[in-house]
Amino acid sequence: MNESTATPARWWNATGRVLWLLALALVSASWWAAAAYAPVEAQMGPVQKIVYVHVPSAIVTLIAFGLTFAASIAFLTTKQWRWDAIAAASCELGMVFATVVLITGPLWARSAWNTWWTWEPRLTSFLILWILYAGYHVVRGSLHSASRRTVSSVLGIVLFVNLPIVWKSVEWWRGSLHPRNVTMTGEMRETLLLSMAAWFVFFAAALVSRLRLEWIREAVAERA
Amino acid sequence: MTYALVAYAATAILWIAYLLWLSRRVARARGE
Repeated sequence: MNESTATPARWWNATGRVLWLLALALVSASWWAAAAYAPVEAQMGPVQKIVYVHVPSAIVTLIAFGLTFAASIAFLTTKQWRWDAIAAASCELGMVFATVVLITGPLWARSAWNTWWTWEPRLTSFLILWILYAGYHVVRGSLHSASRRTVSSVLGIVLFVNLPIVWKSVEWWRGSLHPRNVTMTGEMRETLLLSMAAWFVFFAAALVSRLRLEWIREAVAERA
Repeated sequence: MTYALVAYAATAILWIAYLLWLSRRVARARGE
């Protein structure tokens, strides 16, 4: 094992354990807060509580794909494999968060708009984002040559163009049904902030676990 | 209320499934 893969196992275990304990405590607290602390919204009723998992997941999706973008640039600049590992790990987790968004969104929409799905700008652009980043994994999984990391990094950079489109879609196109901003006060706001913190720490914990897989694979490849 | 419960349950199931898949891949990479 050379210097690049010589990250001590103890570091992975200790960091991972601390982050997972924190993440599980925060997610549990945020779910309790959503169920018992935050009041029931007057117009929508209990279904509004979906916001406490939907909005943080959407924001963490953008953070994860943003990290993929930054790490892809770092890989193309430095050619150090660990940046590619961060880009791929972050992109995979971004896909899971994006899937949560695409599952919870229609459940909210069914109650708010009386339809599971509508081809309005935010929903459509987010679905396109999900499909394109799924393509990142398909392309990455199909390449086994030395160009795999370079091709993945170029994709990680190019696909980032979608993020501002998703973010600004509610302003750029007319007829958007999706709420522009989430404005909350009191217990609702506190619950949303707690949920955001919880899912961000959860992302960090999952990222460390996913990176561990990349480190093991690299160490095995070096030995072979 | 049902939609909210389904949303939270689906989130939990999806993450548990992903983490189980990840732990299987780690075990396989280690040659276990």
